[in-house]
Order: sequence, then C-alpha cells, then structure tokens
Amino acid sequence: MIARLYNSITLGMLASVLMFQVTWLEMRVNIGWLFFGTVAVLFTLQTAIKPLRKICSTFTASALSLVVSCAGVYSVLGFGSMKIIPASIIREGIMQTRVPFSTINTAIIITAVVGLAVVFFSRKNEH
Amino acid sequence: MKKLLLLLVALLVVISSAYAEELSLTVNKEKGEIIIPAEVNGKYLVSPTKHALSYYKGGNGEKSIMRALVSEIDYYNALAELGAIPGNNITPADMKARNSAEGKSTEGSKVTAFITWEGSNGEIPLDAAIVSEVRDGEARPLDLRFTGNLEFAQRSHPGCYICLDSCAAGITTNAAWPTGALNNKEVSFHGNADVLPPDGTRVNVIVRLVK
Repeated sequence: MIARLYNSITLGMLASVLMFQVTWLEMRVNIGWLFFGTVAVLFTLQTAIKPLRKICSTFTASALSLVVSCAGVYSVLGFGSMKIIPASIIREGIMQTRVPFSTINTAIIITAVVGLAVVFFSRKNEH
Repeated sequence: MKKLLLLLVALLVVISSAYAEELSLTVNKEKGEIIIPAEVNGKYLVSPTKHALSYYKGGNGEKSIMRALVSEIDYYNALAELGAIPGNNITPADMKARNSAEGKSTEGSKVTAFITWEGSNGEIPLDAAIVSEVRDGEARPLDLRFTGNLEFAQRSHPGCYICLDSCAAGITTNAAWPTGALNNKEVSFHGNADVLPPDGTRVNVIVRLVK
C-alpha cells in the first residue's frame, strides 16, 4: 500500500505541474486541490486494477515514479521554477499560503527520500 | 498516529490564526492617496497572471502577484471618498471578446500605483514591478482607471483590486489593454523578480488619484 501511495504522490505532483501550465485552468481552480484529487484517483486505479496493483507495489515502480516525476517537473519548469511551483501547489492545496516555499520544499524532499526508504524496507511485507 | 494527526491539525490552526490579522487602509484626502497593506506572492514572479493585487480572502486572492490584507470593498469606498468616478463600462459579456480589436477599454478616473517595503529604494512604480510579454509590438505603460465593478465585487467576491487588463471584476483595471487581449494571448504578465522583494514580504501599495 505504501508503494502505491508513494507512486500516487510523485506522479500526482507531475500531473499537477502539467495542469499548472494551463493558464486558463490555473487562474480558475485551486491546483493544490487537483493535486490531492489526482493522488486519490491514481491510488484508487493502482489498487483496483489487479495487474497494475502487482506492478505498482514494487520498490522499482516507486523509484521509477520518483525519477519520472523529477525529470518531468524539471523539464517543464526548469530549476528556478522547480523550487517555487510544486511548493506553491502544496501550500495552496492545504490553504496555508503564508508558509515559506523553503519549508514546503524541505517537507517535499523529506517525503520523497523517507518515503522511498520506507517502501524499500517494507517491500517484504507487501508480498 | 492519532496524536500525530492532532498535532498536525493544531499546527495548521496556529499558522492559520497568524493570517487572522485584519489591517486597514490608510486614506489621505489631502494627498489623494490610499495605502494598502499587502504581501508578495512569489508564485507569480515566475508564472503568468492577470491580477496585480487581490484581497487574500477573495476568489482570486491566491491568483495575484500581491495579496491585499484588506477587503476590496473598503478600497472601492476609499476611492469614492477621494472623489474618483467609476467607469462601470465593462460587463462580463465584454470579457468574452476574442481579441483586443473586439474588446473594450475601461473608463473611469485615472490612478497611479506604487509599491514600498522595508528596504525598498523609495516608491517603486507598479509598472516597474510588472513584466509584460507582448506578442506583437511593445509593452504598454499601465493606464490604471477606477473601473468600479462594486456590484460584481459584492456579489462574487473575486477580491480584485488591480487587474492588468480591462476587466469586469476589478475595482481598478488597466485601460492600456482592452478586454480580449488576454483571450487572444496578445500579452501576458508576471511579477518582476528583479524588482519585487521575495515571497511573503510585507509591502504597501500606494494608489494615487490623478487630478
């Protein structure tokens, strides 16, 4: 379950950054809420579809999702905006827009690293 | 786990309460100026928006280069108190114009806007704090007008103080770009990161009535 949740968060962030690029959408919708909605949808899909469930419950899938998400976000935003846009999406989603970007970025990095470690060490319990 | 969740909720409540402070506008009739307390939203130093200043509790509060910390209704009243005349000539139907040739420019009393913050080198014109990327042609100086739109503001609560095009929602909007210009991607705007201070910095936006 942890691996599927991890994949949902990483790929959900990539999807949110892509949605953020659509100015019409970004000006009208809280992209942070779309992020959490996307995470829920991705998690449900990975859990409900049996073949997908098996593939997505591995450490390899989680590591790959992190690489794809980081590479995708970097190619869309570049390094400068990468430090701002994902954090702005999160803080808008939790409706805490006064939290500094650096604090949110620290939380994102901790989630990415610790999350992947948890997936690695819990992989035996998944099967 | 429950304790951790409770702790997280408590933390969010504490952070939220910091935002509960409501400041007020400073209106100086002699100088014909209004000082609006606001904060920089760093998101729009790197991505496009049509909103220069919006009330943080309004619908566009988080879609703006700066978040005003006072209601836009107070701002409307302050402009009226200074003797500014609203144009009230832009309707939601005008916003559907496909390009600027089909669009309409705002009318109303002319105003100018400046920004100051701790450490700023005096008053910085709003024009210098905004980057306009024009598809064909050159950037146009801001031509801010008291558009009005009080009824829309009261009904829909968009929070808009200053829009960067002519708009049916903002109290003051920009006559330099008619409605339809943004629909046709003739221009896009974002905050100037080389001029504005970092995300979260408390600023004062000074709006002056041009007599």
